[in-house]
Amino acid sequence: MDLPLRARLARQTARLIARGLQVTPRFQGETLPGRIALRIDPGFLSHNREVSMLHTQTVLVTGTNGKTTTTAFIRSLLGPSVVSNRGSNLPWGIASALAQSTGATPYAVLEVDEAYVPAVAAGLQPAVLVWLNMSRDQLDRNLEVRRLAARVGESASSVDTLVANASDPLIVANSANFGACVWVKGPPEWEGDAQACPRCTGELTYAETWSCTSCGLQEPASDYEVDGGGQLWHDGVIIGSVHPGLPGNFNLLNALMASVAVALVGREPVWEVASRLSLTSGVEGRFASWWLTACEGTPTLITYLAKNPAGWHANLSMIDTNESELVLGLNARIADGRDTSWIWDVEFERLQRTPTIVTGERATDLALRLEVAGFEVVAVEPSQVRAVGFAAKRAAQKGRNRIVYLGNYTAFRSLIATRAELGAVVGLTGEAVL
Amino acid sequence: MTVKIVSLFPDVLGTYGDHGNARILAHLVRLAGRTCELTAVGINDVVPLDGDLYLLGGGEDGPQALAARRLADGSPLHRVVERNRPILAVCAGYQVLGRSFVAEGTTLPGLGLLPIDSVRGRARMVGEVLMTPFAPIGQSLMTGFENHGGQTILDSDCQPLGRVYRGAGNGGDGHDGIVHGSIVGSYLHGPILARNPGLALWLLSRIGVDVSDVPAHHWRLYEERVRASEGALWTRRRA
Ligand SMILES: [Zn+2]
Repeated sequence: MDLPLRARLARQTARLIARGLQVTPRFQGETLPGRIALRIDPGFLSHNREVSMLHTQTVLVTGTNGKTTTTAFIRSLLGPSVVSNRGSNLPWGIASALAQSTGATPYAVLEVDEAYVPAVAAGLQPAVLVWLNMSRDQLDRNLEVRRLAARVGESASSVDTLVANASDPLIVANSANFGACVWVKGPPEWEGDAQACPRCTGELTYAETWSCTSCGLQEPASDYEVDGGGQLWHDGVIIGSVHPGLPGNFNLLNALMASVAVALVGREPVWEVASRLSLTSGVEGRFASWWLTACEGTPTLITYLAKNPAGWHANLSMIDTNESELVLGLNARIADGRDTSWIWDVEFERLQRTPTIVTGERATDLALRLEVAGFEVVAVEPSQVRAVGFAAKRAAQKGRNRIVYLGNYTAFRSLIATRAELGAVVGLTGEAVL
Repeated sequence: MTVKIVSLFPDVLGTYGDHGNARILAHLVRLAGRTCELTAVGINDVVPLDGDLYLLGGGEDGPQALAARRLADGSPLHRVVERNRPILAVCAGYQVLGRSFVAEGTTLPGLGLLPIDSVRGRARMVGEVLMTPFAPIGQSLMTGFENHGGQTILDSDCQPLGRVYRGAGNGGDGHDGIVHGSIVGSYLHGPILARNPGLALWLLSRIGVDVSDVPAHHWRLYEERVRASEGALWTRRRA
C-alpha cells in the first residue's frame, strides 16, 4: 500500500526542497521541507504512520532540559537505521525528518517541544513517550510551566508507555491518564521549581521522596534508579551500571531514561541496554572541545549550552574553573526568552567564585548578577569572538591552555557560527555540527 | 547596626528572578559599610517581624494563592506596615497585598494592605516596560520586564509608581504599580532593583541606610535598557 496522493505529493515536494537546501544553512534545511509538507498535507504525520511507518516503533522525547542529548543517546543505542530529527523539535522539524526517511524503518526517535506533544503524539501514536523534567524555561514565551505540563499530560491516550522522572511533581501530577508508566529516578538535583503541590497548591515536603501533605500526591516508587556513582538499581538491588560518557548527574538520568525507552521498544533488559551506552562525542556542540588555532597560545575551548537556571547551575557546578578561563554568554532573543531575570535564579552564590568574562548581547545583565554574587568580572565584552580572544590572552599570560564557555541558546549558536574567526578545529570530543 | 532584609517565599514566589531584589539590597548595604542579614523565608517558615525591609516577588497562580493564605495567617505583614517598614512587592506579590486577586479563575481575598483589586486582563501582558516614576528616586525613567495576566485597578485617590510609555503596567490606566505608605508595588521584573538602582537607594534611605551612591557601573544596565526602549518616548501614549 502506498501513501495517499496528497501525502505522497507532500513528501516528494519536501524531499526536492531538502535537496535544494543542502547548500543553505543547516537549521533552515531542517524546517522548510516539513513546513511545506504540512502545508500540502496537514495530516502528514498520521498519513506516514498509517502507511510507511506501519511497522515503525516511535519514541518521543520531551521535557525542559536534555531532549537533544537523550534523543542522541537513544539514536546511538538503536543503531543507524533510525528516523530522527536533529535540532528542530517543532512539528515541521519532525515532518522534515519523516519526509527524508527512506522506506520502512524499525524505529523513529523524535524530540518534541513540550507544547506540541499532544499534536505529535496524536499523529504518530508513539510506543514510548520519554518525559524528562519540567522546569522554568523561557517563561515569557511558554507562560506557565504548570499549564505546559498539563498540556503534555493531554497526550496520554495516544501513548503506549510513559517513561518519566519520578522526582518531578509536575510530571507525576499530570501522569494519571497514561495507560502504563515506568518511573525512573536519578541522583538528587535541583528542586527549586515546584514547592507548591501542582495538583492542590498545598505544601510539598521533601525527604528521600517528596509528597504533598494536603492531597496526598506523592513520588511514585521508582522502577529504575541511577545513583551518583552510575550504579543502576531495581527493586533495591544493583543490576548494572550507566555510562553516559558525558559529565553531570543529569546525564546519568538522561542516559537511564534513554536505556529504559530502548529496552521497551527492543524488548531487552534495561541493564543490558545501559551497558551498551556510551556517547563519547559532544551532542550538537554541547560539551564539544575546540582547538583555537587563530588565538594566542592556541588554547582549547570547551563549549557548554544551557538555557535556564537549572541547566546553568548543573553545568557550572561540574566545570573545574581552577585551570581554565571562564566565559559566560547571554542573549535574550525570542528563542532564548526576552526576559533575562532568570539569571538571578542561578545560584551563583553556591558556586566557586572564579574570575569571569561576560559576553553576548546581554553581557551587562550578567555582569551585575555576577558582581552581586561576589565574582570578579574581568571583562564585559558583548562581542563573543573578542571575549574568547581576550580569554585566550589571559590564559596565555597565566600559562593555561583551557577556556570554558557556557552560553544560552542563541549566544551559543552564534559563537559556534563564528568559529572560523577563532580558527577553531574540532577536538577529540567534538562533533562537527551546527 | 545590622540591617535585616527579609525576602518572602522565594521558593514559591521566585519564578521571575525577583529574589534578586533582596540580593541587590544586601549588596548595597554592604557597600555602604553596614552589616546585612538577608533572610530568605520559605513558604513553611515563620515570617520574622523584626525585619527592616520586606520583599515579595512574582509567581504562578497556585503558589500565589498559597502565599496569600500564609500571610493571612497571623497577619505578619500588617504588623510590618504598622511599624512603617518598607515592603517592595512585585507582580503576584503586589496583587496579594491588595483587597482581591484572581488565581486559576477564582477571585480570592488578598491581605487588604493596598486599596487595589486585581482582575484577569484581556490578554497576557509580556514585554519590556519603560515609564517615568512619580516618586523622587533620582531617575527620570524606570525600566523592567513585565509578564502577567492580571490587571490591577487602583482606587481613584492613589499614587501609582509611574506613568507607562511602553508596556502595560497595571493594565488599564496607563500607569504601573503603586506607592502607598511604606509599600511599593509594581509589575516590573528584571529584577526591578537591578534595572533601577535609584529605586533601591530610595528604599534604603527610608530605613536610614545612606548609600551615597552606587558604583557607577551599576547604572550601566539601567542606561542600556533605557536606550533599548527610548523610541517609546516619541510615541507617548495617552493615559
Ligand atoms: Zn497536593
